[in-house]
Amino acid sequence: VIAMRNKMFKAKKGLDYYAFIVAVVGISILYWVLSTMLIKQGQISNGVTIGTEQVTILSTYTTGEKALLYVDEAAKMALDYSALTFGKYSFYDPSPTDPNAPTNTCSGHWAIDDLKQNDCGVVTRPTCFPDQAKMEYSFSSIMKTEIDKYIPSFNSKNSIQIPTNYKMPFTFLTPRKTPGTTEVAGIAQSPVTVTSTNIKYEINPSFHESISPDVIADGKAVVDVAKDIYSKKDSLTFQNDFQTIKEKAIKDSATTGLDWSTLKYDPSVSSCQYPIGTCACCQTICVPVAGPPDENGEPTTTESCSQVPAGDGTKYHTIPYDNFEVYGRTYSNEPAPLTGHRKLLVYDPQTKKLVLTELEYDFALNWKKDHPENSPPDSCSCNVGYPCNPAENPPYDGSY
Amino acid sequence: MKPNPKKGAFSLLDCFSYLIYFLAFWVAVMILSVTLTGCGHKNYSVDEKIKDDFSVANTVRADLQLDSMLRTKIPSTADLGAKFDWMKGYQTQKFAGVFGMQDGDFDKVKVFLSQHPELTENQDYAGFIRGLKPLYDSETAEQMKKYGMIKETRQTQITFTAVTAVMFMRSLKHKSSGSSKSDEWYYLPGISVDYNPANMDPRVGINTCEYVGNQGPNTLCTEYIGDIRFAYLVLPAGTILTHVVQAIPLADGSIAKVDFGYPPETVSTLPTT
Repeated sequence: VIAMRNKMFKAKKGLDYYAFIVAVVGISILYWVLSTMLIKQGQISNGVTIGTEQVTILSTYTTGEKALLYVDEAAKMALDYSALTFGKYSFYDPSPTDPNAPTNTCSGHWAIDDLKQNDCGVVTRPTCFPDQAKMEYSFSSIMKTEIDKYIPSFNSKNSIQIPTNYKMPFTFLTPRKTPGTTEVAGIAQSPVTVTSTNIKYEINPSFHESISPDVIADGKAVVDVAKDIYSKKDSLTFQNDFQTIKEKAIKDSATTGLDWSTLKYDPSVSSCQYPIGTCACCQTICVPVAGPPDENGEPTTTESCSQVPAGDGTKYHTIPYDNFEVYGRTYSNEPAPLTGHRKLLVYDPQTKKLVLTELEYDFALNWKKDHPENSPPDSCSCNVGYPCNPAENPPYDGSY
Repeated sequence: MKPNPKKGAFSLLDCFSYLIYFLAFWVAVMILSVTLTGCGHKNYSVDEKIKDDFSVANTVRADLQLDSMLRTKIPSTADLGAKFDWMKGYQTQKFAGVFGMQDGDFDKVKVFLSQHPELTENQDYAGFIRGLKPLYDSETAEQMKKYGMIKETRQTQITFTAVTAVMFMRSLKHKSSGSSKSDEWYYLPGISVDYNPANMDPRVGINTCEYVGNQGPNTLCTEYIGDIRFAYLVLPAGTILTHVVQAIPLADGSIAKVDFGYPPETVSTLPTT
C-alpha cells in the first residue's frame, strides 16, 4: 500500500491523484452529512403527509378512551347491582371472592348472643354488626366481582386488554361531592396499554361512579337502630322501648331518608331445638307367653307387655328467639315514575330483562330468651317408642 | 544544510488554488442543499406536494364524538315527551318521511317508554341502548316464531330512532345552486347497534345498516328507513363517512357494538393560496 501511495503521489511522471481523491471523498462525506440533516425537508419535494405523528398520538389516546368508557359503563351497572345485593344481605357480600372481604359468619343475623359452637349449628355474636370499614369492603367486594363479569367480553373482541386489578377496597369519597349519594372510585393498579408505531401509551382504567342514595350512610343508620333495639332486649318494658326507638327512627327519616314504617317485632317466632343430654325414652314390648290350658286342655298363648328403654333418648331444649324481620327502605326524590322508594336497575337472569327493583336493607336481629343451661330441659324426643314424658317438640333436624 | 527560502512559501498560485477549491466546495454544498431540501421549488409546486391525510384525524374526531354521545344523559320522560310532540308537529312540514317515522309512531314511542322506564330513567345513551337489548331480543324472538325470520324490529327500532333523533338530530344550512336562499336541513347521525357482534370492525361506506338479504336490518340503526343520507346532502363527491365503533357492556355479560358513521366536517385538501 505504501509503495502504491508513493507511486501515485510521489511519482515524478504521471498524474497527481491526490486532489481528485480528496475532492471525491470530501463531497461524499458532505453529501452524507447534509442528507442526514436535511432528509426531512427533502421529503417535502417528494410529497409529504403532514401531522401523521400528532394524529397517531391522538389516535392512541382515543383508543384508550374506548377502554375507559367501557369500564365506566361496567362500573355503572355494577354499582346498581352492588347496592341491591349489599342491602339484601345485611351489608355483607353473600359470596365473596376476595379472600380479604369480611364474611358474615352470623348467617344473616347480627345478634343471637354468644351461642356455643354446637348450639343449633349457628355461631353468631353481636360483633356481626357491620361497621363502616366492613361495609365498604363488602360493597367493594360485590362490585369488583360484578365488574369482572363484564370485562372479558371486551378483552375477547379488542386488541387492547383491560386489566381488572383494582386497589381493594374501593375508595368511598368522603365527604361526598353530592350529599346522599354513594360515590365510589376504583383505583386501577395495572394500566391499559395502547401500542402504536414508536408509541406506547398507558392509562389506568380507574373509574368514579355515583348513585343515590348513600348506602354506607344508610347502613350505618340501620345498624344504629338495630343496636338500640338490641341494647333494650333485657328491659322489662321492651315493648315500649321498641316503640320509642321506632318512632324516633321514623322521625329521623326526614334526614336519613330511611323508611322505617315496616320495622316490626315478632316475639319468639323463631326457635331451635338444642340437644342437651339424654332422657329415658320408652317403648312397649309385648312377647307371647304360654297361657293356661283351655277347656279342652289345649295349650294357649297370651302377650306379656312391658315398658323398656328405647331410641337414642336425646333430650332437647327449645330456645326461643325474639326476632326482627326488618326491611328498611329508602325514599327517593326522583320524579315519576321513580317516586316513592328508591329503585335500582338490575338484570334479572331468570327473565333476562333489566328490571327496576326497590332498594331494601334487610337484616334479622334475633336473640335467645334464656340460655339452656340455666333452664330445665323442656322436651324429650325418641326415635323409637315414645317419651316417658310427653314430647313437646320434634327433634332438632339440623336446620334453623 | 542551507534552507531554501522558496520552499513552503504561500505563492499566488497556491492562493488561487485554494480559492478554486473553496469555490468548488461551495458550489457542491449549494447543489446538494437545493437537491435535498427542494429549495428550488416554487410555492405552488410545494403546496401541491404537501398532503394531508384526514382519515385518521376524522377517526379521532368521530371517536370523541361517539364517546360523548354515549355518555350523554337521557332527558327526563317529560322532556322527551315534549320533544316528541314538537317533532310530531314539525314532521308534517319539515320531517315528512324523515327518520322513517310514520304517523302515530311518536305516540307509540311515548307509550312504550312509559311502559319501560328502565330505558330512560337515570340513564345515559349507552344505558338506553343497553336497556333496549332484552326488548329487542324478545321482539326478534316473536318475529322468528311468527314468520320464521326477522322481518323488522318495529317497536324497538322506532324507539331507538325517536330517542336518537331527539338527542342528536343536527341541522345544516343548505343552499341550492342558483338560489340565494338557504334551507335548513335536518339529519340524524348514522348510528347502528349490533347486539351480537362477530368482531369490532367498523362499517365501510355510507351505510350504517346491515341488511340480510331483503329481510331488513338485523341491527338497530338510524338509517333504517331514513330518506336523508349524508352523501346526498353535503359531502363532496368521493368523500365517505368515517366509521368508528365503541363497545358497551350489556347486563347479561355480553357486548354491544355501536357503529357511528361520521360525516367529515373538514375538507381533505389544504386551501390553495
